[in-house]
Amino acid sequence: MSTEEMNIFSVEEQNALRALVGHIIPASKDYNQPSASDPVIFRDILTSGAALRDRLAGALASLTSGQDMTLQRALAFRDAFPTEAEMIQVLVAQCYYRDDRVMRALDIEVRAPFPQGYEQEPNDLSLLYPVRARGAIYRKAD
Amino acid sequence: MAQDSVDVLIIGAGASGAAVAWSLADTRMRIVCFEQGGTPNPEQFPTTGRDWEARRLGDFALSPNQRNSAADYPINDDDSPIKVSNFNGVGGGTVLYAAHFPRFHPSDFKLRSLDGVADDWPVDYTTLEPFFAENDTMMGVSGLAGDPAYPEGKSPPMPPAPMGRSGRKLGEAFNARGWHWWPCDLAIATKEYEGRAKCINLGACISGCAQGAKGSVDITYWPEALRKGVELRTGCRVREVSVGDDGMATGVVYFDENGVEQFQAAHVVVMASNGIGTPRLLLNSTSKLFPDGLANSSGLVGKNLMFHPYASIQGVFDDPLDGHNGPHKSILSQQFYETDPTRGFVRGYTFETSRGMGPVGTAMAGMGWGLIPWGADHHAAFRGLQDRVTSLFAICEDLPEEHNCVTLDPELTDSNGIPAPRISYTLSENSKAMMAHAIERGTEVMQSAGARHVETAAPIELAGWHQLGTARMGKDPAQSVVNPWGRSHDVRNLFIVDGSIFVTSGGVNPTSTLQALALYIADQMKQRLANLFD
Repeated sequence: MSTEEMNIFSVEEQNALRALVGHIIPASKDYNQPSASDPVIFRDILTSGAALRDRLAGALASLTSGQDMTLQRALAFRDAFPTEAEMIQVLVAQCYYRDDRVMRALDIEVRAPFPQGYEQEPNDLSLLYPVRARGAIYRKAD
Repeated sequence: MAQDSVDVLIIGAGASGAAVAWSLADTRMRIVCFEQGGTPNPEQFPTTGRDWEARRLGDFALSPNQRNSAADYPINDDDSPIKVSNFNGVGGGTVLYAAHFPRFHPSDFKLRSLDGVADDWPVDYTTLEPFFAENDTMMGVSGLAGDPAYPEGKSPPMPPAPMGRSGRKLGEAFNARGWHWWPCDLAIATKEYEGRAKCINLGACISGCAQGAKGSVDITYWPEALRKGVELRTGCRVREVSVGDDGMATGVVYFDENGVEQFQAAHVVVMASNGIGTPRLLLNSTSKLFPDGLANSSGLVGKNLMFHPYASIQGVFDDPLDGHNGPHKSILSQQFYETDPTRGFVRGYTFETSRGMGPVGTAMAGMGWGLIPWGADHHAAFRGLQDRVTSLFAICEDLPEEHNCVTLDPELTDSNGIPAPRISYTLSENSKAMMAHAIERGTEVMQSAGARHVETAAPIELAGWHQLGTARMGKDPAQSVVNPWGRSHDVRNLFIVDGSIFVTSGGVNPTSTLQALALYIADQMKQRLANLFD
């Protein structure tokens, strides 16, 4: 990410957004997963969300007071700014669920789908016996 | 600047334009196709990268308004509960479609005769049958012969795609209820086919197939058409079709890839820009002879817009299913396809399965449904949905209504200053009743399959994939825009071959029928070359 892209969000906005996403997806010791406010993931969020900055600025301003962020405050933000909260939620999902560490923790192969692809089990067409047995169902139009 | 005249000028390099170009090339006429977008590069398709899910919301978004690429034109669909999805480039919508390839049924061409609604088509299933088969071969369709929802004779050239755990589970549930189901016909190669590699289950058909297994026309019809001598010019955006004093089309005014306005003369103009692009262009083509838009003496250009209202029924299961692994579509059910007066609506719908989601999609859906919370419980809840969701979509037949229409927006324009289309569309009571029925029956299927939670929605907002009916075909010039073989009633060297000529929508994905119809029209043109304009 370029410094220019990061700086689209002001320092205050970055701090507010980092605190918020850290409560949307906090770190988990049980599952060995980072928080969405992890430095690598958060850089991705700032870059990927640069185009949304102007639409988020007003809502983020409500979080820039000196109060500490809590889950309750995050949920209140979601109630007060549902459109902006959904944009942030989508942004977080996009960036968090492509992080290598998250993929490994979820037992998902860390790779693009192409060119390796995936395997599928063969069809069992015997399941269609009852469908065939009932016969034609199309409507004649003659 | 004027260019040398061509024999046939096709506007649009998507599903219908490609098929017509390929077929008409047999005549050895000089055929040129204009496409406003470029040629897709599979090496840049999303599944080649780790960010493949995110790109579906960016440069490979389904909505042109969201994608907003240089090839796209904006569409004002604020006045519609269903938003338009398309792709502008060589291949058109087939680049981003799921390749579900069911045909219309015999009854779909006879609504007035059978059900007393809408109109009969001027062609029928039997007439189109050889063109369905020819198109299946060209597009490379996989499937299973013997589907009792169709007349005998439909025989896809490749075996069906894997139905997977999700298809099997839902197939068993349809069996438990005694309802029809069948493996989908898909324009997806399940074995090596005509130079195409077989499907490797990338699971992202609707953002372009990097493997080249999916039958999009940029890799099916176009290579063949180009070998036969058709010329394809990309980056050419048509502003209007011009006419002479004799009322015949003379060619088109267009912007070339450098944004320079040009004129291309043509003896025959073929519109293949689909159900929004075609009426937009006709309405933009005003003249002294045609003040209300070209080919519009009936007043029906842009009218009778049909989408397919979709209902969504998504089940959450305890056992792992497929996730995004495999083609989107696996099985369908047409148990409720034909009219049954006891249901409270006319006509019907197809259930199609949609396999599952990747991790980003799972998180977005789960948080949207309220099943994955913010906070410490997020992780356990995500695992409860990961690879455990599968879907039924009901694709409901939409009946033509004149007030559902495409007009020109008085303010919005594309990057060349050409007025953009505006959509006005409302759901009919018939469609609402049909979707409600589909949600009830679909929920029963999910519960039979063992779903522990079912989420439903109707209509799906971003599901305006199928744009039909806005320049419909018919025998009566007062009630239709083109004649029974696709020629404008008003302009004898202007043809329309895309979804806009559909009389009714059927309850299936339209590409198979659209292309069969385009091949039929091309065949009619070839048979009538000596007196094409009589």
